[in-house]
Amino acid sequence: MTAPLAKSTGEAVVPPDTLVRLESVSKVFGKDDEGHRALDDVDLEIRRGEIFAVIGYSGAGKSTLVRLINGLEQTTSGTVTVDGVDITRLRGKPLRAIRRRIGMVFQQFNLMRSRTVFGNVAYPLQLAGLGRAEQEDRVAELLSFVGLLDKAWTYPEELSGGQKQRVGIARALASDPDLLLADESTSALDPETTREVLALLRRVNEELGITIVVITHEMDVVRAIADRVAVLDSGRVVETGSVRDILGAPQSETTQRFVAATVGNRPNADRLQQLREAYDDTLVTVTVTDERALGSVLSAAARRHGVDFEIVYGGITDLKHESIGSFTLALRGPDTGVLATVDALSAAGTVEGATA
Amino acid sequence: MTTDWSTLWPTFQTAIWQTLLMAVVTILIGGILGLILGVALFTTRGGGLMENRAVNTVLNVLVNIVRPIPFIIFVTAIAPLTLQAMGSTIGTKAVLFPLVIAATFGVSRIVEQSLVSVDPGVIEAAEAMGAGPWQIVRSVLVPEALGPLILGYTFIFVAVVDMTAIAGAVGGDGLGDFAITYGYHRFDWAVTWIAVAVIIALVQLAQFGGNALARKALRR
Repeated sequence: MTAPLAKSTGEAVVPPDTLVRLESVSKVFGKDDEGHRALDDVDLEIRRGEIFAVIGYSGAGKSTLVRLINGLEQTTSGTVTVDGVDITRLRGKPLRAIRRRIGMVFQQFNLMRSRTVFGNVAYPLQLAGLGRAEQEDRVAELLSFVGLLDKAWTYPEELSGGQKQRVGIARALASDPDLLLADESTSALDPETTREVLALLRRVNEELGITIVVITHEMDVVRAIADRVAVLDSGRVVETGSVRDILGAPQSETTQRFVAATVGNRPNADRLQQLREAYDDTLVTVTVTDERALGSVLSAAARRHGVDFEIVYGGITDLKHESIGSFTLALRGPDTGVLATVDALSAAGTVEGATA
Repeated sequence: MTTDWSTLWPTFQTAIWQTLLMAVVTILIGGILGLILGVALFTTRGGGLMENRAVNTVLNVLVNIVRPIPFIIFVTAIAPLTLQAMGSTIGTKAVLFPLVIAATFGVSRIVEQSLVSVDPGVIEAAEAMGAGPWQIVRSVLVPEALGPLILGYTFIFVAVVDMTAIAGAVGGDGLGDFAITYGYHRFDWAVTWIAVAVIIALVQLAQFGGNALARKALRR
């Protein structure tokens, strides 16, 4: 359901499946010329119903970017459109009305210490002017969704980090938003709790149909829940694409570093050097999305062309709905046989020469 | 020398009530005005909810002018204004005027400091949920800072009791006036000490009460 983009005809037409769009967005803190350029000419398109991740190192501008989407920060130039509404110039009441349709989850949870779990989740409902009975019904519904109904009358300080974040998510969902912004929502949590919170975010996306923008510095988070990802480096988007494409074939250096840190199935430069010293055979790296296809192709080709092979590096990385396998192979045999094997492997996946 | 308590006792009782009246009225009116001023100081700061550099500078300068003036001098310095406003410069009612002004400015700084202690992330969360500046002041800032606010108000209450006693030296009533007139001027140490003892008891009670309320607000 992709409508054509009428970008060249002056007025930008927002295609129906685009929920958030950033066009040539720049953000400068301080004075225009000598200030810090947090975001530099960013173009992004977040589709309705997807989980979109923005990954970058600290200081890359991720937090600024996500705050432009609900108007907590204003752009220096460029436009931000949410559900067809240009929010760039909105202030006061109309902006607050938009914000009520966008939930936000924070790294440090940002729950009110003076309110119970109920009071925190009910806060956006009070802002919306709901009566006490309606608040109670809705909060009960939200707390059972995040599995914390029994904690309604406790205070945040009595909760674990993971529980606090679930309360944060319940609060963000209270106003029935179309869009959820998750700013480093798992960065203060341990790995086990991170998995729980990510699973909850996936449920939010799949069961409630809420579009989610995930801001993170961890490729593991992207891998676990995102459909598409943008890589941000020094305020610029250096790469955008489906998680599978980005993880399978990272183009920019920044992306490659992120991918190497999480995936661990591709040898880095040092390791490759060691492998080359250890094997004087042809080294190739094959990236596949179906490991079983690789096995049959590889054994058949090796047998037919009289080539021996050894898997010297590799592994399988699970994504949200699929997995990517990457294997570095040492191929030994007559040159023509090796070449023919590489050709055959190309049918199963992407082959990169690992020879210098 | 023996003190004639039978004639002094009614005067002493009146003095206690005057001190209590001055302190309570001052903390109520000055407390509310100081809360407004303190919220204005906090919210107009750079990066604040209602950032306004000009207003913030004016308010800061104003507070910085009034606050350092020793109270005994302040009372005499604004006597003409007091006369205009209250119709007199002598007595409990008249002295309320400088007391309320001094308390307002004192409270404003205490309020500002308490609000600074509120986690900026919580304020941001409320903004992200679409809360307006006034809603955030009422429903986030004040409740989140309630513990420090109560302690701050207790501190100011004690300072106000102190100020009421000072006011006794320059036309006010109450325990300060009582201690000076019947104790100091008559070289009657016992009267002075008893006035002091009552003031100490008052301050202790206020501090205990304030601590207990703050503990409740902070749940610890």
